[in-house]
Amino acid sequence: MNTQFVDSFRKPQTTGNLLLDMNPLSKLIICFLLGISAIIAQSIPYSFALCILYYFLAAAMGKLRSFSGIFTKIVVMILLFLLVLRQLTVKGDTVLFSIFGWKWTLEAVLVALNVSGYILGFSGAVVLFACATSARDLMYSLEQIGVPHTTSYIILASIQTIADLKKSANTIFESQKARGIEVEGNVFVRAKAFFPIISPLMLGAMSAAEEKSISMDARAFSLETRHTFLRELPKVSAGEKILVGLFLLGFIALIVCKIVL
Amino acid sequence: MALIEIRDVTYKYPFTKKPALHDVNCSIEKGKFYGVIGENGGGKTSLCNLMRGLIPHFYNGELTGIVNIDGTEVRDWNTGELAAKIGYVFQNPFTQISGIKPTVFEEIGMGLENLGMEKEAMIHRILEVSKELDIEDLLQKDPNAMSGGQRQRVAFASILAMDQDIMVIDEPTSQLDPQTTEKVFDIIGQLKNSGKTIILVEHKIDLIARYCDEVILMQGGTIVRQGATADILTDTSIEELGAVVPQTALFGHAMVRAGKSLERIPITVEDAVEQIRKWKEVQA
Repeated sequence: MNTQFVDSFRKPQTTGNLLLDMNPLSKLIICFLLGISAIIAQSIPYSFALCILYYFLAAAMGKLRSFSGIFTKIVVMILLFLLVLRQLTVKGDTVLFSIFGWKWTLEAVLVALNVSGYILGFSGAVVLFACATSARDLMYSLEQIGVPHTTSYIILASIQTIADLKKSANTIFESQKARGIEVEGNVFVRAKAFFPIISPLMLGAMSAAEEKSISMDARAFSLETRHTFLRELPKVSAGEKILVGLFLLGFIALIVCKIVL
Repeated sequence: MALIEIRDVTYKYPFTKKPALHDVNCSIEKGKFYGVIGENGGGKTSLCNLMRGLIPHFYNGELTGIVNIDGTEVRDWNTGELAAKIGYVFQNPFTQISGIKPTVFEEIGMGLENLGMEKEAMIHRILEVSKELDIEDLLQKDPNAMSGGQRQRVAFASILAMDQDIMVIDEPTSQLDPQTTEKVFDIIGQLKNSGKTIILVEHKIDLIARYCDEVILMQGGTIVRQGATADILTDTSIEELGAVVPQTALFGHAMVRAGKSLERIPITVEDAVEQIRKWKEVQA
């Protein structure tokens, strides 16, 4: 048995990384404010500067690989989609270049960059928060501020159910394959193999959910008493509270500027 | 007064026509170890669900008759209080894992968190139980990525840690190897010695013979026999009711038929050895 592992439960759980060890609710507030600020600012330089900042923050948290793996895909998809869409819908006079007679205008590019800027500014904040915070830490923090135990369980269990469904689908695919049914190949072959498993997959998930709720009952989940926690997070420091306060002030200042200017 | 009293109970699960339990009558005494045996579909798990209060609190269905748990009608119990009073280990270990705890250590601690136990006491209890069940090497592992046997031990440990007065255990060793099965039964035996009341569903008749004080035999949703383990398991007519008579008891009957009378029909290997030794001494 690893005594270091057991001892880790005797004190608040930390990773040694200042940003990662911030309270999940502080991270949530900061990421939310950053994301919303991109929508309010409606500024191309600000939105894309935010996106770069997210990469730096992810690197500082040691989460660059997981963050960039998701966010870069979103950036490419959103940019490409909106650039093409706006060229079709926005009319402009300043032609930048032409592809087989299809003229790309500066006006359409600017509209596309503006819209994609605030979409990416917000979605980047969401991805950053998801990479920087585990669901159980968030639920712990929410329970600490009075969110019911049941609510936090439902959220956590729903996240786990997605992983369970994927596992069940793979099991059904494997058993189909073992019976000689074609499940690999082009999109049509995969779709043909996928549709018949939807019903058993859903029925299985419903049955598992029922059994799981009995299991939770066996663990005295519904006992109306003060629940304790084996795993604790550090208390929110004064510095962290000030930081969140500064972000709030900055956000309010942005709104004021937007109204006044 | 009986700890659990079941009188004239008939129960039908929702959307079913045939009752899963039919005219069930039995009483469970405090501190005794009961073995529930019988063929598949005989109503063993439904009886467990009834004793644990899942019927009617979780499975609505149609319930008639009286079920008293510790002097209170089952319908009047709060489900949380029932969970703190009666531990329940299910047949299927795959659904008994919460799915929200990343390590076995936290999985075992989950029930204790719900009971409101202080942290140091929780850690102590988790270590104690994991040592008993020899799962210390699993404590850091992800419960969702374990084999059936490992999950079964973790599920058992999670309930064992909660230390309830009554334990309802439904086939706890179905996925375990013989050595681990013996270990689990030793622990259940120790629970009985510490004054707990145990209701165990199990097909391994030799283990039932060795550990249980009383046997409840079920067939077709009703209790067809209930009595002292030796009385039930030495009666060869139980084979017609879907139960298995221990090999040692069959051997004892064969000895008697051959005119070699024993002091009693043995139901365990140890008792059989003792009976033969005594018989040989008499012969000498």
